[in-house]
Amino acid sequence: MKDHKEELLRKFNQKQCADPLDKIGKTLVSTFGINENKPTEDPNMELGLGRATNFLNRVCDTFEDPKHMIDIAPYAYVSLGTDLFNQTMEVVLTRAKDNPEDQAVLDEILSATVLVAPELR
Amino acid sequence: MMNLVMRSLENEFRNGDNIVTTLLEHNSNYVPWYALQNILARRGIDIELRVAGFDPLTGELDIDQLASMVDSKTKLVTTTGASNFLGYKPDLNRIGDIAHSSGYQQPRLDSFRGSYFLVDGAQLVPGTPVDVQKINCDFLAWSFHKMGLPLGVGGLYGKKEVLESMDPFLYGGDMISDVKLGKVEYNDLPWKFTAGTPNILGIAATGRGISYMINMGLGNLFIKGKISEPERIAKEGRQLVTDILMNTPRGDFEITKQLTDAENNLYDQFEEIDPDRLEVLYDANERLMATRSVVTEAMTNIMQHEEKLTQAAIDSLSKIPGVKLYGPRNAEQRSGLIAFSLEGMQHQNLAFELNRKGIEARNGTHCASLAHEALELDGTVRLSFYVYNSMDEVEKAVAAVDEIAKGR
Repeated sequence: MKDHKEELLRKFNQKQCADPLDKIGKTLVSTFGINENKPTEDPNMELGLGRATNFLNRVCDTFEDPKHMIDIAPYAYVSLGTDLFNQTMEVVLTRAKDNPEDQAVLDEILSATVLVAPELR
Repeated sequence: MMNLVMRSLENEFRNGDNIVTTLLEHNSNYVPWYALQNILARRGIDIELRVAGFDPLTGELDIDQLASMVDSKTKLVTTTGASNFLGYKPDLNRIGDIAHSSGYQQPRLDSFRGSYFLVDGAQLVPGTPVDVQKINCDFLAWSFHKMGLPLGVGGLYGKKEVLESMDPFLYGGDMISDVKLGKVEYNDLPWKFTAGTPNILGIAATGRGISYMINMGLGNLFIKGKISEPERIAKEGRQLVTDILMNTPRGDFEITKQLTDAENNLYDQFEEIDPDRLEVLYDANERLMATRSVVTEAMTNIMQHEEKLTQAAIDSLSKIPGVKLYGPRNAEQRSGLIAFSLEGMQHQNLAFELNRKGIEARNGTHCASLAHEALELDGTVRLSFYVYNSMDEVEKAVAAVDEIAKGR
């Protein structure tokens, strides 16, 4: 059986990515593999691997140290849902590119968005 | 707050001392002690961290095991007041007795008998009338964000003589009474522990939020235009009295709240309805007793509301095939949250679908990593109920879980 975590670790082998992926790589793939139209189905691990790869490509390219972004991703994805997670990530990535000095705290935007009542997000 | 206690006590530990805690803890009441063990080891002081288990079926703390771990080398016994995963509320009086009869001699406090007893009240305080004198704990720590109040504001109760014997955890302004070159005198309590710039905005907002919550617990809130004029005056009058009590709680302070013209007018009207309630405000001791009474009444009401919702949720969820609940089945033994799993479904899928259905659910280990590890779980889903939730919302949440379970 394909080891999706190992596949991620092969692609993202720099330490800042590999450390968090070693701990939550499997959770990241299975969470991103949730079918947003039928979340109760077993996760599609290939879909999850693709989305995780896309997510990691972007955060590892943008962030000097993406550890906190990777750590928070599964929790934020489940709580916000696919669309809002993606929208929030666009805000975070834009801010991270435009204001690199803010990068260390930008994971908090995801946590804070989760804390806001859904209708106000 | 745990870090405050840990940092203030760290220089008191002696080689061979131990700390007793439990597998029920939030990581915030395990990690500081784990870290302290390593910090002290680097200084050549070896301390032991002993961790008591729990019943995997009921979630109840194994107090006999905890008692067997406490001995004359136990400096500190620390436990959660209510598990944020299993909900379980341990018998704090019994644990306090075990701690205080350990035979440990605190190095800086000859008059103190036994081990210090620290309660993590983060999950307990928001929904329980807690009386530190009845519990007889030496420390009680909690966070206001669990009460729907601002993040970054917490509370720490400590017995006066214990706090006086402890080192400050931060050094700088406000915590000193006098500074000369080569000689610094620390300030009295509580300022000894208030170095740095306080979170004034957060604290002020928390104070207002507490008054609001206590009024909510007392049934003093109302919707404008939906009640009669005398009832409005009665409820607003009780809000005003509660506000004054909450803002001048200590007997040795005079009333500081300045009433506005509108409040003065209300005050006069309310005096005709309930003169006895206003009378207590003029006497410092009666004011203190009245504050204690309204807080106890409000928190008891909040606790009973939580218990009612939690019991209804437990009873309904336990009837859904495939749902496995964690923790005691009796809501009186637990706080207002329920962690559960659904057979054949990963926790993140279940939480994702609940969130999609408008039911705010959290998944993962809820920072209760030790208990999840003990139960060999990589995560669970948690529903939490509080003062602002209604039975209708509990029914909707349960119906959503039921629908998901049927559609598997």
